[in-house]
Amino acid sequence: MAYQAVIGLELHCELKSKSKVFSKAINGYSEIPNNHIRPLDLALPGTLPVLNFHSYKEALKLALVLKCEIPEYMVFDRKNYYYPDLPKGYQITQQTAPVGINGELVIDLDGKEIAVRIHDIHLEEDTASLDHISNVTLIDYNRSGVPLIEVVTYPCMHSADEAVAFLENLRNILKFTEISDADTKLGQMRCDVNVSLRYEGDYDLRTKVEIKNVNSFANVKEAINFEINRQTKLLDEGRGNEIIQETRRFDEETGTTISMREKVEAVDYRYFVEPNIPKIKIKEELLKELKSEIPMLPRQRKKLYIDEYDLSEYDANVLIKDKDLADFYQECVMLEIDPQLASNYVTTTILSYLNKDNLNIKDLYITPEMLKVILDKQVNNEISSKQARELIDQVINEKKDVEEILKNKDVSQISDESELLKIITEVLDSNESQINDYHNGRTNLFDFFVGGVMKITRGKANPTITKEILTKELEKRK
Amino acid sequence: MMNNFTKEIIDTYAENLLFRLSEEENALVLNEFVDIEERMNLINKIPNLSSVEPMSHPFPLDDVILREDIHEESLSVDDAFKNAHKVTNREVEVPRVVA
Repeated sequence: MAYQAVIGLELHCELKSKSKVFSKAINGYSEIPNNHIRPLDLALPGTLPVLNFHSYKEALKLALVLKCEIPEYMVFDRKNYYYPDLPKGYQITQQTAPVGINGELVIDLDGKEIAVRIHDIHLEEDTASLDHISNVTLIDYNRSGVPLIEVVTYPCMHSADEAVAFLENLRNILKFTEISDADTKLGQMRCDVNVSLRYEGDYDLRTKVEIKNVNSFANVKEAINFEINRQTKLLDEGRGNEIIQETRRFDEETGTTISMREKVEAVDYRYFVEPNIPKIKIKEELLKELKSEIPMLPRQRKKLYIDEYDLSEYDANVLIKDKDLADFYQECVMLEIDPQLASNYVTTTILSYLNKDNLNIKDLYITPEMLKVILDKQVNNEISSKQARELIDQVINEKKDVEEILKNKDVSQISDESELLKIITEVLDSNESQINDYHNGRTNLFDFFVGGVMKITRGKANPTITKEILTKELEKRK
Repeated sequence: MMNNFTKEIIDTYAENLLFRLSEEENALVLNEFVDIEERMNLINKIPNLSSVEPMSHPFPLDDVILREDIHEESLSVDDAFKNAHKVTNREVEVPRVVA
């Protein structure tokens, strides 16, 4: 019998801000432990939380982007539990009235549109981080109080690919809106995955397992697929009763999930409304203002690139994968570089630099303005496409402006027809047998002759004019 | 008045909160729960209680001023952990909490 996987995700994502969500300590990654701490982050006596207006707005903005219903008041709750990563003994989070409920995110997968339903999103504070070394645990409070958004989906996804596509889309949105840097390598996005199986056509949900703290999208995919296979095998062997409600963890080395604890009864967190933060009325005017601040999102940009700029879906996808790259490209188009020409260079020559050294476009010396200068020269036939690529390489490698490079370099194209005719004649005269082969059907030798011309001119021959003259000259020698 | 709490209920609550109580501690907590329940029962005698909205904050505030996103310098590790039992390489050290 065929089974259907049912997958739900809980995603924690750190928000960008200068200070933490309830304290004035710096919100930022640091290699040095405990250098971003204020008394509140350590729960020192006499301290009280005061909500960061910026984090409040960013949480609301995400609720708007994810088409959530937004409550009348922002209310915080205390989630009580005892662990060394939580100095207050409780986490300030939202349970009574999360900042957004009943939202959705539409994603594209294999040419289909899928609406992933969002149960809720809530704003909370991150915990301290723990290092377990031999028989001790060390506590770094830098992360304690970092603004965190938790996005909880309904169990509405049915494959690892769907779950990963959702995560990639959400990460892109977080980056495009600048709500978060969403860097999984820095632990800014962490994910819990719920997986269960049911018979195809059934509606009721069956026993689920929860896989905690999966820290990369590749691992999410692997963990889900492993869990689907494990549960399928148990059901096929008539051992369905061995699928129990439990928390498992993903083991990167073996690519498997390992049981951590059975969930007999939900842990009682004794939630109650946080009395130290007043209920905050969410004003309509603020929501309007936030809506107007939402930039064009990746999916809209992709549509623009395909429908208006005539880019292929592949190129559009490459561009929207990285917000900074997409912004760079957008600026090129604003500078009136032909959208396709700009895409050709951004998604190949420039992207190869980024991929090679895992860089961001902002790390490169080249700007859209510099690219405009280079590509204008190509469009005006002052330089060839080969020369354009070489110039881009030089700007990036030598960190010099285009004009400065051009001053010291002869990159002018040879477009003079009589000069080109002389060179073409020279090439043809020394390749009589190839001319015969060409006329006998080996038409790909045309590129060989063009190559000969480019060799003599060191790539400076205007390719269009060269091809025109070459065609005529070959005709004459038939 | 009859009280509803038992030793077993207290043990279950403790389990749900991820800790265990000794016999002595259980007896202490049970006594406190009985006390609390008696007071609850007293409050329950007030008529029309279900129409009273739970109170989380003393006053309704519609104009709460939030904090601007400005950061302040970090506490020094010396000041922050003056009272910590043990500090190792700028971090607070506690007994290992995972197996």
